[in-house]
Amino acid sequence: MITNKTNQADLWRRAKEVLADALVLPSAERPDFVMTRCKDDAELKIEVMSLLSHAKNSTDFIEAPALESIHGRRAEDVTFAQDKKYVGARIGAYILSGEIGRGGMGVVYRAMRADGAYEQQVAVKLLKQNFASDKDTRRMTRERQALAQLNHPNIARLIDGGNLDDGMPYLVMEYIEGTQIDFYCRTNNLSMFDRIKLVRQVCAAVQSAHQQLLIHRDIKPANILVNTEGQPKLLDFGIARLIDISRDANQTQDMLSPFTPRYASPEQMRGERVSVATDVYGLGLLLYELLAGASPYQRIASGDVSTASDAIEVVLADPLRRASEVARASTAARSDISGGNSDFNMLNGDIDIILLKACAKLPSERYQTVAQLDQDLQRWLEGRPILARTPTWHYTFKKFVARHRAVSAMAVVAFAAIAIGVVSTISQKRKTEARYTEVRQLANSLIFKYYNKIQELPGSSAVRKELAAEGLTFLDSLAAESGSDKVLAIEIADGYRQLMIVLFNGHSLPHLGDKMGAASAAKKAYALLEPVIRKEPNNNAANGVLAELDNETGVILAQENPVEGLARIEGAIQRYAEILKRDPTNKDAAFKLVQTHFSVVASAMNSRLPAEKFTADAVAAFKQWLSNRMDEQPVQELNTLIVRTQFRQAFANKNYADALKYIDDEIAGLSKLLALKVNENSVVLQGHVNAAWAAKGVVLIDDNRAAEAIAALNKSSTQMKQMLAIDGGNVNTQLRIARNATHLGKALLLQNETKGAALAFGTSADEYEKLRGKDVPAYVYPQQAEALWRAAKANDALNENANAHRYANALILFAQERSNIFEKQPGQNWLIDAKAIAIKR
Amino acid sequence: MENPIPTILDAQIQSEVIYAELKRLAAAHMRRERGDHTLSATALVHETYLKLAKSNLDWRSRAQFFGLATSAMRHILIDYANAHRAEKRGGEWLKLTITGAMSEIDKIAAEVHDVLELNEALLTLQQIDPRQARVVELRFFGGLSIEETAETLNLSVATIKREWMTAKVFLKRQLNT
Repeated sequence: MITNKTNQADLWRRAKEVLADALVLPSAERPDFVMTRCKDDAELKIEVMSLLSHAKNSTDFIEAPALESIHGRRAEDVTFAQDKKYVGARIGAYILSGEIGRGGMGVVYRAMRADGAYEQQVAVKLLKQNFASDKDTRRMTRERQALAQLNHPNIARLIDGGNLDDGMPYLVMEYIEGTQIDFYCRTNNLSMFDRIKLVRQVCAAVQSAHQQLLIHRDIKPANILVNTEGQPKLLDFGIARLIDISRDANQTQDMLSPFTPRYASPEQMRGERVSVATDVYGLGLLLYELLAGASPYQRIASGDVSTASDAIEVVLADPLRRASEVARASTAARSDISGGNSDFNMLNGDIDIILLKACAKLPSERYQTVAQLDQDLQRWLEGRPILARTPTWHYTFKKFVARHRAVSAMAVVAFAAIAIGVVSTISQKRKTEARYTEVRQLANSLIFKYYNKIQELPGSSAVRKELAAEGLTFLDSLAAESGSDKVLAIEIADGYRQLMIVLFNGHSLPHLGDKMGAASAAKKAYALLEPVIRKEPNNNAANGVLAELDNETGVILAQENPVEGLARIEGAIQRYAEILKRDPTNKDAAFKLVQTHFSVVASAMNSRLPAEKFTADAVAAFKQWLSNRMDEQPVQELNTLIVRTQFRQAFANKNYADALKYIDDEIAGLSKLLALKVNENSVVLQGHVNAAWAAKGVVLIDDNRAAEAIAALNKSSTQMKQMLAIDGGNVNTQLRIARNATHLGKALLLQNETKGAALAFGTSADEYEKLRGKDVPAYVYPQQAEALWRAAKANDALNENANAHRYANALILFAQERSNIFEKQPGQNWLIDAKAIAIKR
Repeated sequence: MENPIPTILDAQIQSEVIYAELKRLAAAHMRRERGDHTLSATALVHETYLKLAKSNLDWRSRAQFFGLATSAMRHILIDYANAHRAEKRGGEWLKLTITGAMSEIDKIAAEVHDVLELNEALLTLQQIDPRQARVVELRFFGGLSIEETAETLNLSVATIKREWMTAKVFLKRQLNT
């Protein structure tokens, strides 16, 4: 230990001397310098290089004393005094042209494209950061990439971002020219209706971002500019998360200190997680101030609050005043809202309720989505009853979201997305059927897909339980709406079925152990399906869900009553079979039919009933299923592999009958594959077919069926030659042609066609010879030797002496090249034969 | 009678006195701090110095005071950071920290974490190079300038610069790995 510490201390003492000298050099020169300085001291060299690799971005590191860091602030005037150096600097494709604002966390510059490719003005924010660890930088980059995806006409786009050479992070954003929203409303004397309409545009923008799981976190008048066309533009979306820019550029000063947390939500003040409800609060407060002309908090409005901690106290504890009362009391409201009294008198109970709900201290008491807020504003504008007044089923969602904020912000937003979907589904009275279905599917899949994801979170069972309950509420509300819509009824029934599995199931899938709940869900599913199937007994979709439901409930039933349970599952199989009869292309039903067969097998086995017949049926069903999928490439390819293996095994056992059956199977399978459009010209597949024909020929020779063997071999060779014409230079094809000729010779010998055989062997030897100079697999050499030997022997037997000599001599030469083949049998004898032929005169 | 308080206290008592005064001032600052001016460690330390200088206490030198005050400051900040980390969900300390924009809370939490991490890294440096660690303590926790640090440690400005520069790299590596 002591030695180790001493060593460490010693190493550091030596390293820092080199490091100090290296740090003053330009970074490019450092490595060479270190190499020279450390000479042969490898340990020192490694240490200094390691340190230098962390020297990047260290200029600002801990330069701000701890106290300032903890405050999230720094002596900005000192450091920012040097900011002038950035004017005229080039950042990415942009040149900074001048400062347009500065705030606690950074300075904003106007910038133009440097390449002048097109006229584009942007705002570049240079962010001050106290600690930019690699981890932080990575997190920022990820965050930035997400924000850059945000593309909405009412949101100022984040175009780019990165770090300057000195490590300072920057953001390139759309440059917006406009007036801060509160100022815009005042100077243009906007009516209350127009103010609400303006905020609704902002709502739509925020909502669209929420659907992409992005939260603004810092909605306030200073962050919304209205351009000359009257379009509001939301600035700094998500930037609060990246790094807070509270005192922002090109926005006018707040009435209180720029650091006044008058727009921060109570949960932000408590340091809790933000969610979509945080933005609901921000929007609510924004609208409140635009309508009432003052803060909902008495003490803030009266200017009694001057410090941040007082403001926190107010926001967390003080009651919200009714907007209508504030407006009446506020002189500002009287003078700047057009229409005067009559207009602000419209700030009635409903708008009070909307605003109080949006700005509720507890996120769970607010509108759970911006869509809900927006919708109530729309209803108010249209003079319809607002939803905030009447408790609706989606309160359950809201509660869920509020209770489980801790799971993750993602979860909250995901559920908000469900809520958005559902709300627009139910309440907008199905504006269009297409949109309705789309939204419904989104909501449906979110519930069940999300369920699976949540399973992976530790300690999530409580959440899952709740989610299942929410799912039930969701489905119940949908069911109530479904009416005569049979497509919807089937879909909801399937939802109940999925929920049933979540609650309890007879398979080994995760469940919550709620058998009663599962039964109740299943019952609802049956109730929804019953009228549909009564009216349309052949409705495939309904029957599909019913079969699945029968399978699920049958498996549970079989645990207590095997006979009834099995009968029910078999009924499901029957149902699938009927679906397939009506619609043979229904892949889902085909798959589930097989799957359900195995439900029967498993249930029978669990109940210790004889399962052999069920198993055989299941395997048969699987084979049937497989046979219908043979035209699918991967299935066919695997099948071919299996058949080929079986063939080789059978052939090795001299089981010619089986071998021939397998090779025929293989040829048939490969031919199917070749028939597929995508494989039309596949050289590889064609090669496999040809090889299979050749293999068949070899089996037939061994089985003494010469004529058939010759036919098979010829088929192979003919096709090979055609291939070679297209794909010349394919060594593999050439080798097969050569080998086929040897086999052909053997087959001809069986028929005593010695002349033909001699010719074939000679052709084989010649074909091998053509490949001289090319690399071939090692197994080819003995085959080549065999061809030479057979050619020599056959010609010798026919007294074709010239040819016999030629091949015998070729073999002798070949033996010098590949001596190892001839050191053992049968090569040894081939060589002896060749020498005997060669010395003949 | 002469003043019964000895003009030169022993170091232990001195640092306790400084610690108490600094903590009181820091807490007061954090509570009342507004966005319009910067709360700096140096200011605090100086304020403490002025406050204590008025009393009958005496120090051998201003440099010695800074030395003691900086250690006290480090303790206060680490205590504060620990308390903040322990009570993220609320409590008095949290309220005390929030002097800036509220949306900065996430960031503050991260920075508090960083201060604690940095303290850990600094403890490592302290093991192998106590003098250099002292430089960091004075600069980072005490908010002293290079020159003040040199004066306090009775070393040349050039030496402090070298120590500071290399210490930053050492700590950065320590934090990143």
